[in-house]
Amino acid sequence: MRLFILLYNIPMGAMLFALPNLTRPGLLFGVPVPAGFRQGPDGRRAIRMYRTVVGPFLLAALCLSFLVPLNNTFGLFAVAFPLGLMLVAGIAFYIQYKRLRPVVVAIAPVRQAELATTPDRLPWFAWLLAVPFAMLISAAWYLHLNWIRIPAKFPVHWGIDGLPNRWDERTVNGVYGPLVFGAENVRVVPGVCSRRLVWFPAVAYAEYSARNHGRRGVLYWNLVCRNCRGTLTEHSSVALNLAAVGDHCFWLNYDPEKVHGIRRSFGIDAGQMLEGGRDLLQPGRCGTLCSEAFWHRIHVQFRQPMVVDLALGPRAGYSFSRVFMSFREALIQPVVIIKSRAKFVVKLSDRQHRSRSDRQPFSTVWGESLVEPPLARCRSSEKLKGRAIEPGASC
Amino acid sequence: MNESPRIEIDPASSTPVVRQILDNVRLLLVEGKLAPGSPLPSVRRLAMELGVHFNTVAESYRQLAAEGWLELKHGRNAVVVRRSVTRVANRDWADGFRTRVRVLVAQIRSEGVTAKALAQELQIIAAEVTKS
Repeated sequence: MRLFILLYNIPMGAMLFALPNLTRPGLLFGVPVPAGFRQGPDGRRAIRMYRTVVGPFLLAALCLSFLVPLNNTFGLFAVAFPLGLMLVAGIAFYIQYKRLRPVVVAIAPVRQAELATTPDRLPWFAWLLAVPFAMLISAAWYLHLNWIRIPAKFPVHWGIDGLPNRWDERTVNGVYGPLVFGAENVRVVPGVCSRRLVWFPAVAYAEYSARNHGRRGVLYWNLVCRNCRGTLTEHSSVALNLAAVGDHCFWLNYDPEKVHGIRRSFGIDAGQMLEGGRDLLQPGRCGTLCSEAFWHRIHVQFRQPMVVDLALGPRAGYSFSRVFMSFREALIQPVVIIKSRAKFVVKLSDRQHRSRSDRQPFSTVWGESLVEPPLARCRSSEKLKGRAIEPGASC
Repeated sequence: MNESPRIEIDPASSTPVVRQILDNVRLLLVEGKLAPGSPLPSVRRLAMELGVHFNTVAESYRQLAAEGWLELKHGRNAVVVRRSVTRVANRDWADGFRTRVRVLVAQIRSEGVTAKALAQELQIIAAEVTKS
């Protein structure tokens, strides 16, 4: 979990730290400055002052990433880290902007353009945008193959209180709609950011292109990565999660003190967690009910009696909702997630063997009687179709 | 490596930007700096670099195409074509030319340029035209 927080936040922190060097030479902290000003004493002083503010904050936040315990406090910290960093960097940037305003140079009234005779071509890194599209297509294909495993009803939006406030059904619109929305978001990326990064810089094209190719590539890659992350966590996570769980019950008896990485985003990285109920219902042992202690231990916050495949729980985390899911889903995730998951699988499997004695009939969640007919719990199993199941019977 | 030809516009000028782009590109075409067959930047790209609306550049390109300088195809860059000029038979062009030059000379002189300096510049231009 800490690793994921760092993987996500370090690039952002590094980018904010390096921000003064990411703009073109004639622009410093949003102020058009004379040529060579950046290398002069005043320019270097402004950059130094900015970094004096951002650097220690970034360093302290990174240190805290290792020190804060993995509980709800960590979730708060995980949200506060990027927001705080952006706020501090924004304030520092504004202070330098105000300081540099007196040295602003008048923009030349005459505008020049190069009549390049070479045909327009996108830089090679523009094709990186195909990655999130490929992820969306993979997700759509996976959902198509696992259609039957998606619950008939599932939440798609959570309130600030952590409870779902909007639900969707297993329909074409409900399942694939978010993916279309995600594709639209991905499509907007070049429209929003490529003006500066990819295609049309504000200075002579050939000169800019030759000088800043690598830098623009890094920035663009960062945007694409963030888009990949957002594409799946924001737009396809719910149905994908629910379709992906089931066969692999790795986190059936996991230790909630150790697992904090399961969560669905809400707004800017503040979110609530979604758990696939099938995992909690012990696939392959459908007649066996979990103990109340087990439900409490995993902090199940919300459970819908009529939708046995669904259980929700809030937990501190940071938008890596598919870390503990099946290998099939992990195949469409970045390699780093597969590696992390493999590490956790060992721990969780081990714990599963040790904790089976905990399972006793489960009675209530949040004061509501939830003793469900075992047949309903087993309805996803092909073996049980048309059979009456006695309480406690095995699949 | 040959440097690409450049054009420049002054948004504060009283001359419309469409006309400025048109005049600049035409000058490059007449001087042979844009050879037949060479593509021009796309409308979108040139508009972004100049900081003007796409339609402004598109209108300039359309006018140049109407004059026979460019070939426009949808989805492709404008391409410079070899222009077949119809030779002017009568002498009407000379009257129009003189009138325009006189207006220009009067305008420049009103800005404080001496007649001698202006005459020297005109001689230089005449020599360049003769060479080409």
